[in-house]
Formats: sequence, C-alpha cells, structure tokens
Amino acid sequence: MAFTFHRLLQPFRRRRFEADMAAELQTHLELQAAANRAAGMDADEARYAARRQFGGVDQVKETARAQRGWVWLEQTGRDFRYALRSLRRAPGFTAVAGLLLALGIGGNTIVFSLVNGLFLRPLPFPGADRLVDIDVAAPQWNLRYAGINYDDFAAWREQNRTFAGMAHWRGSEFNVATENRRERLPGQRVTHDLADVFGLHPVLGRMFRADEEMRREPKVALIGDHLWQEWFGRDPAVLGKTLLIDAEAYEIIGVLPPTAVFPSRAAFWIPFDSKPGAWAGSCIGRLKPGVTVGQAAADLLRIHRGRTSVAKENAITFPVVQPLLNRYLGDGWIIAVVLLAGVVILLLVAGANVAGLMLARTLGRAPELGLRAALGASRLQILRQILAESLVLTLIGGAAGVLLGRWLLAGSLAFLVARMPAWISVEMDARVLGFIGLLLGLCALVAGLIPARHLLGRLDLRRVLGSGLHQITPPASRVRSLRLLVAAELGLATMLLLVGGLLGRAFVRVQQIDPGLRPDHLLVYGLSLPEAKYRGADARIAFFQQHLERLRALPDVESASASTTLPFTGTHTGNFFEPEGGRPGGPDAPLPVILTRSTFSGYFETMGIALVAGSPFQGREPRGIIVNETLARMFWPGKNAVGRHLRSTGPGSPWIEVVGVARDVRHYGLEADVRPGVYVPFRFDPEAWIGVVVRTKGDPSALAPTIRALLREQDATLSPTVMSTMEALIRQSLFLRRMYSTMTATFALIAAAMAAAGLYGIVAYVVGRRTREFGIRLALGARARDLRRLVLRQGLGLAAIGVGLGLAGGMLAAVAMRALLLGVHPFDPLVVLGIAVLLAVVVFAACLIPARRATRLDLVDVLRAE
Amino acid sequence: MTKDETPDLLQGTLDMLILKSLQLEPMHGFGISVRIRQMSDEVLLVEQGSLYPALYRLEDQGWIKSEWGVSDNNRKAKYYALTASGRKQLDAETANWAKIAAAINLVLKGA
Repeated sequence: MAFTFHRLLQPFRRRRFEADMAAELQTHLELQAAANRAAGMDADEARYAARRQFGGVDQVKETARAQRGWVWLEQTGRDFRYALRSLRRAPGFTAVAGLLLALGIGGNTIVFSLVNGLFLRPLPFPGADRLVDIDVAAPQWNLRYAGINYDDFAAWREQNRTFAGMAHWRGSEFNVATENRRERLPGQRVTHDLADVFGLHPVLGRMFRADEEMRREPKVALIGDHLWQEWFGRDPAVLGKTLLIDAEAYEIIGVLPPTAVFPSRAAFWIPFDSKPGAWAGSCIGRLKPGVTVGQAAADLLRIHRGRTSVAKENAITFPVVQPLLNRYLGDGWIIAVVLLAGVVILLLVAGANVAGLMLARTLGRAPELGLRAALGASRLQILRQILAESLVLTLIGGAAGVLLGRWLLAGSLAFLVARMPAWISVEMDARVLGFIGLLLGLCALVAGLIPARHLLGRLDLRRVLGSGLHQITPPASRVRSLRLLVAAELGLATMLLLVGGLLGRAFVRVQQIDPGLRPDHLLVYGLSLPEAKYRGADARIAFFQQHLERLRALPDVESASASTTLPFTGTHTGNFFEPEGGRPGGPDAPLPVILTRSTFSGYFETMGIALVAGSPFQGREPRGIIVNETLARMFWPGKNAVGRHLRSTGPGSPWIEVVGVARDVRHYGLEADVRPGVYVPFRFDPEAWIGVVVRTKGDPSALAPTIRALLREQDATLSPTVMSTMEALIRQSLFLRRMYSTMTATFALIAAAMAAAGLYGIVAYVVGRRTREFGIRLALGARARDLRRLVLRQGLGLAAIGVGLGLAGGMLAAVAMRALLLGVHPFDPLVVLGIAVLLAVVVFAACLIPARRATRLDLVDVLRAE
Repeated sequence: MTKDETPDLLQGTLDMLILKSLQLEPMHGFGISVRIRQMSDEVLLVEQGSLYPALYRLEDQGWIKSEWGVSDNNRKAKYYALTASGRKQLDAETANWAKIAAAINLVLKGA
C-alpha cells in the first residue's frame, strides 16, 4: 500500500521532509501576513501578528516531526553518535571505565568458555544424552570403580533389555612403528561395537566385526585421524598398509573420524583382548529411548547377580550406571561454581566502580543536561541519552574484554590442552556469546540507571544558571548511593579475598603433605619391553637387571632401581591378600583391594622411603614381602608385622613372610587416601613394563640424554617413555588445585584493588566537595588533625560495614565449599589476619591521602575560588 | 471570538473537520484553517500546532494526499486533497459523530 511504503522510506528522506515542512510553514506565515494586511495592518505589524498567531514555529515542527513514526530511531541514532563523541572528549574517563569493564568481562569470558566447554556443551556424538558410563563398584574391596570383567560385559551385552548398544575398551600405551617412524602412543583395545554406540562411522574402511573380538588373529587396526594425518599424510590408500604395534604387524582396515576422541586421545583402535578374570577398562552404553539410568542399572544388576554361580565376586559387586560426563567430571563442578562465582563478583565490583564514575561524570554534566531539559527535552529523552552513553561504554569495554579473554585463553590453551579432557572445545558458541551479552546488558543498565536516577530528580533551571548556588555539601542521597556502591564493592572484594586466601592456605597445606618419599634429585621414566621380542620372565628380568646395573655405573647416579606402578603416575594394580590366622573381623569383613608393586632391590633407598620396621629388599634374589603401614595396621593392629605371614587369596598360594614395614606413600596423590599396599620382589610378578627411578647427585633432568643413549645401546628399538622428575610429577598432580587457587586469588586481588580505588574515589569526591567548608573551618581555628580524623572516621565507618558483611559472606561461602578446603577452617586466623592487615592498610591509604590533601589547602585560594 | 472561548478540539474531531473541509476541493494548510473558521461561523479556531501534525498524520494514514502547487498570491504551497479512502473515512466519522452527539444530547436532556 502506498502509505506504508511512504512510511518506510521516511527515515531516508529526512532532509527533504524538513525542507518541505519549512517551506510549507513559511508559506502559511506569508498567507497569514497577507490576510492581516488585507484586514488593515501595515506590513511589519502584519508579519509579527502572523507569527504570534502561528505560535512557535519550532514547536510546531517538533510536534509535526513526532507524528512521523521513525523519530525515535533517528533520535536513538543521534544519541549514540553523541555518546561516542562525548566519550572521545573524555579519554581519561573512557580509558579507566573501559579498563575496569575489560578486566571484568575478560575474566568472565575465560571462565565461562572453560565451564561451557567442559560441562555445558553436549558431546559431539549423536544422541549424546543417552550415552552412559558403566562400571562396577566394589565397596567391600574399598573400590569405587573396580573396572570391567569381559565375561560380565559379554553377559550384559547379550542379555540386557534396556540398552540399544554397549561396548567395552581398555586403553594402554604401545610402541608403534612403521618403516621410518617409531613412537610410543596411546591406543585402545575395543569391542567391535564401540563405533556404533558412539554413533561414529569410519571415514575410510570398516569397523571391526564381531568375530574379530577376543581373538588374536587376524591382527587388524583402525587408525585415528591425527595418526592418519601425521604418519600417512591423509593418504586415501592407507588401507591395507601395515602398522607395527608392540613389534606385531597389524593391517590397517579403517580410519576413524576426528570426533573419535572420547575419552582419551587414542591414536588407534585394535580388537579387544584381555586376560581372563581381569577387571579393567571402561564400558559405555547407549540407552534405549525412554529408559532411565535407574532402570538400566537394575537391569544390569539382574544379569550381574545372575552370574554368581560362575563368578562369585558378583555377589558383592554391582554395576554402576551414570551419564557419561558425570563419570569424567564428577566433583569438578564445585570448582567450576567457585571460579564462576569469583569472576562474576569481580565483574560486579568493576561494574560498581564504573557506575560510580558514571555518576560523578553525569552529575558534572548536570548544567548541560538541565539546559536540554529547559529547551524541551523530555525526561525519557535525557534518560535515553544517559543509557546510550553507558551502553556505548559497556560495548567498548566489553569488546576489549572479550578480546583480552580469548587472547589469554588461546595463549594458555597449548599449556592446558594436555591436562584437559580430549573432547573439550572452548570456542565461542552461542551460549558463551549469550552469557557475555547478558552481562554486558546488565552492566549497561546498572551503569546507566544509577546516575540517571539521581540526575532526573534534579534537573532545573537554577542549576543551569548559577553554579554558585551549589550546595556546600552534595545532596545526601547522592552520597548515600556512592557509599552504598563502595560498601558493596568492599564487601564483595573482602568475600573474594577470604575465599581466595583460604584456598591458598589449603594449597600450601597440600604442598606440605609428606609424600612418603624424597622427591628431590629423582629421575623417573617408563620402560616397556615388547612381548614379541622378550618372551618369558627370564628374558625380561635379565634385561632390566642389566639396565639397572649400567645405570648404577654412571658417575652421576647415586642409586637406581625400578618398580611397577610408580606413585603419582595415576596407575594402580590391585590384588587380594589375606593374613595368616584370618582377617581381623572375620571372613565377612571388608576385603579392600591391596596395591601391589613388584620392585627391584634398592627401590626404597633410591626413592627415599623409610622403613619403620624390618629391612628393604637386598641383593639379586630378595625374599619375603614388604607391607606398608596401613596394611600392617589393618591386618595386625597394634602388633609388629615383621615375621608374620600373608598370602595372595586364591587356590594354592604360598605363605610369604613379611620382612619389612614401609612408610606410607601417597601413591594416588597428596590429597587422596592411602590404600593398604605391598611390595613383592620383581621376579614373583615380572611384568613387561616397569618404572625406573634414578637418584642423581646433580640435576636429574641433565641425565636424560645419557640414559636414552644407554638404553639404545641395549636395544636400538627401545626408548624411555614419560621421562620426568619426581618433583615434576608431584607438581603435575597438583595442577588443578594450583590452577583454581591461583585464579581465585588473582580475581580477589584485582577486586580488592578496584574496591580500594572506589573507596579512594568516593572519599576524594566528598572531600573535594567540602573544600570550602574545610577552608572556613580552618580559618575559624580548627586543627588540621581534627578534620583529617573526621574524614578518616567516615571512610573507616564505611569500610567497616563493607568488610564486615564481606567476611560474613565469605565464611558462608567457605562452609559451602568445605570439600575443597582440606580441613582449613573457614575462620582460619592466619588468613583472616592477613586479609585484615591488607584491607586496613588499603583503607587507611584511601582515606588518608585525600584527607591530607584537603587540610593542606591554602585558605586564600579556597575563598578565592568562589 | 476571543481565544479563551474557543472550545478544545479533540484529535479525532479535528481530523474529521479537516477531511470535511477538503471535501469540495483541495486546499493548503492556511486555507484549511481559514475554511474551518468560516464554516464554523468563527467558533472553531484551529491552532497551527495541532493543524500541521494532524495533516501529516492523515497523510500517513492515506486519507489525504499532498501535492505542491501555487497559491492565489503566487506562493509555492502544499495542497492537500481527499483520497477515495479518505472520503469513506469521512462518511464513517460523520455517522459516528452523529451517533455520539445524539447520545450526549439524550443524557443532557434527561434527569
């Protein structure tokens, strides 16, 4: 229709419209003047009369313009352009406010991207919400997750009614080679249906067939996308080529898509194979539509317990079914909440500062805005102007913040990627953008509405005309708002400081935990012998013995030894033992799984593990078994364990004599519990892979090249894996705690700095307003000291309220996150004292500096400034 | 008639009067206000502050259309004319007005 078209074009035809309207009104005036002349007035009088009759031309224009529907669009555009201009004219303000917002938004971008990538994004598989992790819990053995037995799994897979598919895998490290490359890579042994359960399809070739599972022949493999790219250059003719895995030839029958990264970065898949009766690996299932986790668990339990006749452990174990991510993220969500809350608090503090700055600035423009109001601007229009400015400011700061956050994240991603789960992707998706947008909107509203509220109540002509009519002290409500803002800032910053301080104390406490060994000067690496080349226990023992002897011959080496399952490596080997005379508590007492390590002589000396009783393994053929303190306490409470006997459960195991009791080692990590454990001489359980430990006289890592060369001399195809120092391993185990403690402390310090700046700002502002009053008081004989004390008292009063509330809030938060604090009390005196001292110094400085400045005024200057 | 005695014209009523005044022939803004004054026997004096916004509004709604022309004393002026839908609108509003006026009269005459 013509008129709607006409309306749509109006915003673009503004100039023409204005010209038309001006011409039209001008004509009207002239016609009216002509009519007046015709009625008898002279020319000039006629014109003036015409103007008077018309009324205000500009007012008419305004009203006429308002009829046009798009006026608000034009005005908003104008507001934004004006806001940009006025911000440009105040670069100091814009820079400071922008920086505050950038810090707050930047921190939020980082944390939320991580939280989103870990917890909120669905896994990159179709129907990922129906994927569940299946494991077996064995509370009697003190195991939360015992691993899966293949026969149990086969029964579940066959007899279940609630799963659309189920698969089982076990990850491990293998020596992989082609003609021109050798590397030790992670790989997975998988059952044939793993790809189906995930909903993946090989990019090339095919997946394993059911008959290839649990058979040693044919040897087939699927390679991952990364391996295909790095080793074969994405050659489409890779099918049929040979890959040497642990010195055995496997034919490549397929290539996996890039999304096949769950849960670890396996380079390749080979068909499943396991020792009978072993419990290991992981299991994943896809629920049928409409089936709940509880129903699935009950279904599996039915099958599991149905097998008790052939597998009597099934009577005391039960399958555990949970959503897939739960298994891998578990309690990490507490940390996520703490970090997210911390960074949001930081943004609140920054936002409060920006609101305060905006308040001061807008009030400084009160005369200008009052003039606008006098010229006819409505309150809505002035409000829109202020909001436009706060929005533009927020967008500038927000954009800078997002860039800063993404840059920092990208920079640390290389460092983080090895420690993060493989499926995490921290890219900016709709959720992150939405969250940041929400924060920016809130900031803009808060930063705009607070000054607007103050200003709109006070726009009148008196302020415009006479700056001398300013009240001597600022109106109470404005100062009240500022005080509220600053008190809130101080409170939030204190809360964050308390939480950060407590986490820091917990971290220090963790680092002080005795690991049970001497981690200094200790080099650690893995050594794995391919089965094809070293068949039989004797071959392996001989190789390892020779290796150790050559190590001990090196001049820089103080001692060397080896063991399976080293501490702080995240590995575990469990077995069951029983003491002579039965377990205390009888045969039905819980039988916790016992950490079993096979060690060479000299292990305890090299590692620096003290023996509290008996003596360590010595010589080439040591005898007996060494237990740790926890086991000794469990089996023989209150008695000396040395000289007693125990044996592995199971038919026909011989009784072994306990020859020593070793100090507990924090095998699973400084924060984790210690399990009962034993050390057996290596020859009784000769594995194909060991961890070598070397105590050096000098820097341990300096020895690495020598050791590599030494190993290659023995066998050119071998190289050590994961070479590191024990100190580095322990450090790595603390990575997560270090990360979130440092981040929280950083947020806390930044927030405290911002709050201090805010307090300084308000004190300086109030004092600045009272300059005249102080000048007069000084002239009338007041002492500078008293005036300073006055200012100080007000500032401290404000700070006390804020800090008090902050401490209370912080303690509540600390109680809520008790799990992370490792027994540090929420009111830990050291932390509270430290925070109190820090805040006292900061608050004093923030109050005293402006106070001193105010009282050093020259009286004449003050009065002259009237 | 002094200004104080001019009754207030509601927006809708003003629209109706403008449409009516254009029924015979197109006219410019000044002419419309003169015509309304004449037709109402000098009772209704339309303020320019309400006239021109009303004209623009009516034009937006498509009841009148505008065209530049030359006035009697050789000035360039914008002439407004009724459109077909404008005529229909005028009829509708006239009928409506009659109904309302009759109803109000009834109320005033009664108790």
